[in-house]
Amino acid sequence: MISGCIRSGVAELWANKRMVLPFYLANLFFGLLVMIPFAYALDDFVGMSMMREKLGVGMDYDFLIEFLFYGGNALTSVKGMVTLVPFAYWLAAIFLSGGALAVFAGGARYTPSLFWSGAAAYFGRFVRLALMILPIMIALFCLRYLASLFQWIFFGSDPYEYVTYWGAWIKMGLGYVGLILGGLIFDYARIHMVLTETRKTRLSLWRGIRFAAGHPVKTLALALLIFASGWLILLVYYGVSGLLAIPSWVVLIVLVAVQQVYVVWRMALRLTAYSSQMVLYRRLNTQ
Amino acid sequence: MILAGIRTMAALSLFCLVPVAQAAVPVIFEKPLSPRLANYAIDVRLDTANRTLEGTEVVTWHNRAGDIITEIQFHLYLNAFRNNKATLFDESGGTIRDIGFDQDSGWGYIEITRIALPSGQDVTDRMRFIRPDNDSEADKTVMSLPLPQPLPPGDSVTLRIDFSAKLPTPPVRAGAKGEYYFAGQWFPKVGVYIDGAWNCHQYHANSEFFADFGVYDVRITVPKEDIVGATGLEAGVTVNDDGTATHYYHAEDVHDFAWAASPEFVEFTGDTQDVAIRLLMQPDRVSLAPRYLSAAKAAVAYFQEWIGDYPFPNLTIIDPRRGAVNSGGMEYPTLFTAIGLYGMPDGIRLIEATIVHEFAHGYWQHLVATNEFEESWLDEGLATYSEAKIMNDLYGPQGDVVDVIGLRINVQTVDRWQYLGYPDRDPVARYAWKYYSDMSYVVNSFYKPAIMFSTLENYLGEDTMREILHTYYERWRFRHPKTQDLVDVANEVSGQNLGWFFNQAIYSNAVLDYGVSWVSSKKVDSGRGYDFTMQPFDENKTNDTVKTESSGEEKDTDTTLFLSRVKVRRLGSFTFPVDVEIKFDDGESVREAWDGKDTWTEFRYTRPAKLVSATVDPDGKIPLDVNLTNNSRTIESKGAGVAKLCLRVLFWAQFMMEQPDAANLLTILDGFKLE
Repeated sequence: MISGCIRSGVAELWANKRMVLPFYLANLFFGLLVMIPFAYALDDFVGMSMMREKLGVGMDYDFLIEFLFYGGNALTSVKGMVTLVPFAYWLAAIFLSGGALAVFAGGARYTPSLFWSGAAAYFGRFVRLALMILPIMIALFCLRYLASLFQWIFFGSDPYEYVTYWGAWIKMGLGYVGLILGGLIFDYARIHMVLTETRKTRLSLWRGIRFAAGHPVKTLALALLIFASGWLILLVYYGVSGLLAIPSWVVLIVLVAVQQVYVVWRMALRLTAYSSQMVLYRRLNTQ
Repeated sequence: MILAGIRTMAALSLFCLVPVAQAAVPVIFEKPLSPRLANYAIDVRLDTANRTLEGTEVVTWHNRAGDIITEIQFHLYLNAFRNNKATLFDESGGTIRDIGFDQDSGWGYIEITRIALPSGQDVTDRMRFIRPDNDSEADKTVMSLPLPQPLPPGDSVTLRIDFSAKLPTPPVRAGAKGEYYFAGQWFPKVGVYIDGAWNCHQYHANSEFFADFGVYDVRITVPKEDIVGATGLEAGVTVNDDGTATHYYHAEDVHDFAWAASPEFVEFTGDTQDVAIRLLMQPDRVSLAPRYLSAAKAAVAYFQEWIGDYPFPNLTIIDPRRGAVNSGGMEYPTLFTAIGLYGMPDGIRLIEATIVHEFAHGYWQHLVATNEFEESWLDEGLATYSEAKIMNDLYGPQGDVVDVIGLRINVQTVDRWQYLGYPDRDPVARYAWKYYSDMSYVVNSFYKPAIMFSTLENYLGEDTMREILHTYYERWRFRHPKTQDLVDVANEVSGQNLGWFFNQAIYSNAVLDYGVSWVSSKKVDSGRGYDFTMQPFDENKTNDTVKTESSGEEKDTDTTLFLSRVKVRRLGSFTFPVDVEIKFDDGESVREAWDGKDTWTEFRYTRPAKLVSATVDPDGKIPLDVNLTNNSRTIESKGAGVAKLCLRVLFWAQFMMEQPDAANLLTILDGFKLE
């Protein structure tokens, strides 16, 4: 069933591939909000130094520390952006998800009016839903402390280092599971909201919890497959980008292209997740 | 080397494990290597239930100072952990080496219960605590004992001291944690009488130690299942009827004695050249033992080749228990404590760097033996410099301490990072507790001196620098040299007066920063106005700082000439001779030398080629320069590197916004922290 959902999801995405564009542009826009102040600070600090060219070959750690020490004032605006931009992007992503789910729910093909009207229609409800999910998300993230509890019960307050070391990996894994579970509840709550056109946020939240908890294996398997493929492609990107160490403008353009292709792919993956989850939700709710 | 090996075997053969009571007093060195002014015979019993030590010490101190001595001063270091008003706690705020102390039940102390002369005369009442460094009434880390009779030059005094001590927990250098006990600075220790006075400072948050050389015979009684590691060589073990065992250790020509005991130690051995290595590992880190041994062997080999013979036949390395890392990274004669963590990747060489660093102390502190209270940099700076050099030789040229997931960082880079944080807060030469802050102490004792030595090495050449350190070691080992002694050796060996360098680097807080501030390259004007005649080459127009160069070829009057100008500034107050390299677009380059004394200088060239770039210190020989980015300047901006970095920042910002849960990866550090 999971592979079928993913196949259907991919087909839906392909049929509405233009929808990737607003997601990509939003991501690019907010990324630029962080990068541009950084670029100004860096340009100002480097000036006409030959470091300008050396940075094309690889990171110079002496330079990095000098930049952090002496470029401090210029970096203040970057710090501000790094604090604000993730929150702003989160809101933007919620907004856009309304449009995507509206397109997938309606069965019609993507049109800008359908997409943007859906985004606007669901934004308020989705934000309320997100705020309600937050404490649940935090609680699920704290699942990682089960590992600490287990460790304390079975190994006491003074365990050997290999216990705390492997325990840390397990804690990290549990943290991821918690975050994924929280994300799943949010996703299925939004799907319920769009499919039923309900304005009752708490009802959708409850339905999301019930669906995710009621079908843990399928929902988690779907989410983990998509999550894992995201990380796999990152490794591919990492390998490719490592080859691009020559400081020439041609190589730079290739690097940009590779980076942005990766980001576009990530957006497509996100939309595939929405459409696959919607397929799964519909299939399991009719059974 | 062969004779050294025979010597080692002879020494070791005397240390057959015979019962302590029957063990003859062994001899390691046929002739004393050091003055042996302070000699100790100590019997100590460890009470694991209360983490206390009950001991009896017989100390014989020889007066070779030429003065009549009327008192003996002792360090009682463990009293630094007596309460939160003691100087160490008062200065540190209860956090020592970045680790908090158990202020409910972790206190420690040392108490002298009786002092007597060989005649049996009790002189305990004569004892008084003194505070040579501050007016802290609560500090009891220095004790003065006025002698009943003055001690003339050439005579000696023997005292029997009964003491009890409690080890702090968790360990702060010394201490206890669980079944692990580390005893450092644990016994009443005679100060150093030098330059006509006692040099016996209180135990400060930012100080280490200073003592005279001697012979130590120490009998340590611990639970019989405990494995013991200590300074010197084990001469015998007796299993007692009460479930304890007494380990007899003998050490010669050392100025300290430390020991550790734990039933959980796992022993590894190795040897290199003429040194037997004994490694006592924690059971959860045995997989790291090969790294410890490999680093130790390398350190021994490098020092014996580069600096001089390591005279002792053995070396003991203690791996501190979890929760006792504050006893790690510390050096004692023929013994040091390492720092390790289960699961530490091979590409993070904290283990190796620590071992090399602590072994370096085996030379600079435990053989040369400078005053760590008053000149901490002489020992720590040389150890840090040695560490950077050896690590780079072993694992460099890039990534000698961190080489993981494309991140490649050298020890010297880390040293420089620390230095840049506090380049001018204090001069290097300052008493350890009188720096502006803890960080200033660390920078000026460890990192700035290390960078300074690297800069000096680049200036003089590696061979000369090695000869300086070798001479310093051979001439001053066992003799408590001071800063000026090292400077004198450097001047003598290099054949130069290096006072200009050391005065700035050690005795001032001058900052070194040279930069290329301005470059230009313009077509030479053919000339306008009345009677103007263009002379492309005028070889008479030269002076010391403004040069005009020609390409030396015949040029017709149609050749385009460029007047290129380069201005180099001294931005800091530290003066240092520098090279400046100027490159032209015809592929040629010119290298100029500037003495660096004035605030700026200018170089001019008239040639048929345009200037491309100018770089001060093109070979990167001056790591003491606080800003290497301003060392170069180009005529035209070639921004590919900056653009690339910005694009990477863009990409990672895009990635992190899209996958914020990636930050969860950092939670692995939960299992990767030193404590």
